Amino acid sequence: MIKKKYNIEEIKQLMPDYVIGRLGTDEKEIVEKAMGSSPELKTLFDEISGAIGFLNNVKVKEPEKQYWVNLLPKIHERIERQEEAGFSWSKVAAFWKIAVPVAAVILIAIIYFTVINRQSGPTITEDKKELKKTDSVKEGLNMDLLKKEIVKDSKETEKQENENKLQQHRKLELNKKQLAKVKEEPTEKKKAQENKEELASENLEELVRSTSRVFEPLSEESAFIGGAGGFDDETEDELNRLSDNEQETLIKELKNSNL
Amino acid sequence: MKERLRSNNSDIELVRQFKNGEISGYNEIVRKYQQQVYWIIRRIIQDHDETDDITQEVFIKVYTALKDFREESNLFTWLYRIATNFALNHVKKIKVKSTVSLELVTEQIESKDKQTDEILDEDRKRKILEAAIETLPPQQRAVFNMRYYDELPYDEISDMLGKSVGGIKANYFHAVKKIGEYVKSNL
Repeated sequence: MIKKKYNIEEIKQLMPDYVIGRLGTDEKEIVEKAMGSSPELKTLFDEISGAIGFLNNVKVKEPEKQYWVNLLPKIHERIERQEEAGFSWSKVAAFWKIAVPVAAVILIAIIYFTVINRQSGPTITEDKKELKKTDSVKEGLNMDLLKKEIVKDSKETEKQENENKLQQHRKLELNKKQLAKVKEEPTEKKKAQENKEELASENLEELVRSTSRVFEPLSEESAFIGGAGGFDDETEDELNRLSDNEQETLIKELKNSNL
Repeated sequence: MKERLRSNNSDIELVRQFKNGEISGYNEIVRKYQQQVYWIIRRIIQDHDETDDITQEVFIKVYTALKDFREESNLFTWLYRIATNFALNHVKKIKVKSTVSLELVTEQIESKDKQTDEILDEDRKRKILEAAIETLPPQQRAVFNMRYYDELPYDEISDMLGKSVGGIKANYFHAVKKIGEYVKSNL
């Protein structure tokens, strides 16, 4: 068995029990051994011995024997008085065991609903006010934006419509122009054709003239313009009676008729 | 005073009687432990009248709490704990009585002409002891009474007061040392 080592303070604390005689064998040896080498412990031993000796010699004044006889009735009297007064610690304890938790719950509920009502009512906390203000501002902004968008939309619609009208008008104009162009085109084509024809007719005229000149010396002979036999006398006489312009027009007509 | 009756089996029977509605069980408990309880309180409070009042309060408390007492526990230990707590609370409530000076003790003794020297001496010692104990802090006072007068083991005192065994030993040592110093200076 390993003996516990005591320091000087622990040995001092063993001294009253050592003096009274309540220490075990091992602890008793430790104290005696320590006292042998420590004057301080020896002095302490003397002091504690004096105190214990005094205590052992003092007779405590005891109550009279009747006191013990009367104690129980006095206790019962007090118990009855408390019960008559409706007071008892057990009742108080029972009351508090129930009352305190119930009161706490009611109080919490009151506080909770009071705070909730205040939040939904006019009196709102600063933070909530700020939030509400921000929300209302946002709503206003949203409304304004919405209105602007509506206006913008309507303007755009109008613009679009105008553009459409313009485009239609432009198309119309274009169509007109095209139509006009188309109308003009045949005229131009016609003109071109006419020019061609004119050129061709000029060539033909030249040819005719040249042919007529060729056949003039041979006037006695039948002219060969227009084929193997040329004009006949009646036709030639008729031609000679016409003016130059009339001759040209007749020649054109003859060309156009593809004779 | 140093005798402690710990007949646990009989205590359990008395408790059961009380729980069954028999007041005789409670009465028997009071008769059995009234002196121990009285002296536990008396050694802390020192005054008889105050001790009487506190003793009655302790047993009224026992009357109301006995129905909830767990039978596996030790009845005397339970009573001891209640008595100590009530006494210490009482001491904390009232101001510590001023130290009874030796001159006052001498004056009181000298006025009693017919008392013998032995009786005077006893009375004087008692007063000095009472005064010496009153100089102790409440916890040292309780530890001293439990260890010196009731001979309770350190671990049981530690359990009752909720302090460490080393702390209880230190309390006891300092209590005895202080009483010795006071007595030496006033005797």
